[in-house]
Amino acid sequence: MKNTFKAVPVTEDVWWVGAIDWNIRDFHGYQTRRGSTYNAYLILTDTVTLIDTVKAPFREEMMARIASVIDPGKIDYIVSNHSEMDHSGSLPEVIAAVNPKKVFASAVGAKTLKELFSIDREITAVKDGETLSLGNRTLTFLETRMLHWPDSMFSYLNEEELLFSQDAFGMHYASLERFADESDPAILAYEAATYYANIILPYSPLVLKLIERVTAAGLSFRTIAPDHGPIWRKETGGIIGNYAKWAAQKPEAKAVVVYATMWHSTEMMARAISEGLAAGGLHVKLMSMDEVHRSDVVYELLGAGALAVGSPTLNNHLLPNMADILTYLTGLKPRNLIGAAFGSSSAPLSAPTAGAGRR
Amino acid sequence: MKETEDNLAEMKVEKAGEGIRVKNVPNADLLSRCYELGKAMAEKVRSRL
Ligand SMILES: [Fe+2]
Ligand SMILES: [Fe+2]
Repeated sequence: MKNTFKAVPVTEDVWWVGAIDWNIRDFHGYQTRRGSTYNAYLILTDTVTLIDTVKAPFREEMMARIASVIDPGKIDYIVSNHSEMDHSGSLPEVIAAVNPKKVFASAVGAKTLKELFSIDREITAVKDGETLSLGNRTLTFLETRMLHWPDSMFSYLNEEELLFSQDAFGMHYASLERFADESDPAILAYEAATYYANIILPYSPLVLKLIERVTAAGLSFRTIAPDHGPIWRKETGGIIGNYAKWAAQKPEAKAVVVYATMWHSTEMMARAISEGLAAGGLHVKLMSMDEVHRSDVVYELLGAGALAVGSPTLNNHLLPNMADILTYLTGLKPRNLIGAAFGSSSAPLSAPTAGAGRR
Repeated sequence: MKETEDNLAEMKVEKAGEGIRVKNVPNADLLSRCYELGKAMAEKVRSRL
């Protein structure tokens, strides 16, 4: 059978050679209802360079896309911007198959890749601001430590003003449209915000510093090529502006009330608090952990000014699904919230009728 | 409720008032306290906008 997996041109010299994971629905506790993509990029210049790879089970798809434009054996360099396994899982096999002249990563990345995989060849550590000549093109490396792993870095293709941003500016969205400008803007807005809330939020102070840094350096971006979801071209200011807004966590006139209930007492309290919040002029999102996913709560909290949390007492503790959301939230570090706790203990003798739809 | 409050404190959430706990079913007075707590939260948020 002929190869049906094709590379997609991003610019004259850069090709998308990633893989589409239509079926993934959970990413470390984050519900990915629209699947994801693992983006890898091939720079076809004098020195042929592969930027990142894909999750291990998708290696053949990536190799087929590469083979649709060049013999994979002609790859000279591989750059690993991020060692997490969704981008490096197939790296050892790709190195073995391609035998590139050099493999590059940040200093932490080089160490991490050696620790994660048995790669018995040198990985060249690059420094922040270091440049790498690809012949008629130049890559500049920008360390982005803790965005969102200690090893993370960006690579910037100077002549094309193209940023390979690994996980940043991405989203979990499987589609055959490779570019944001070909995709439904409502889906992009929702998925980019959900991704930020569920992955990037704890690193918001670093996002603000990074935006300050690239602005001061006068870098401009004609294209932003992340490791998940569609590629931003033509218009890249929108997603950068959104990151600046989300990272600032400036409170808006919005409240989230999250609760679980056993026999509807905590639910009645949640509804009364919600009515008060609305009477006070806030837009309210009332969310029962018996019905919604934790990822949705974090999405709604982006830009909220208030959070009320209610749980009944079960065996002297929270209900398990409330412990779940609170553990998830504390790790994601939402900030600038006004809050309150509430809840009931012991069950009523007869269940009230409010919210009788609980499963 | 202490566990919830400890988690909110870890998130550096500013309390709008004392949390409300009820034994068994909330009566009308208790629900009106919940309503007022919601309003107090909203006022605090609005003062920050
Ligand atoms: Fe990652
Ligand atoms: Fe990733």
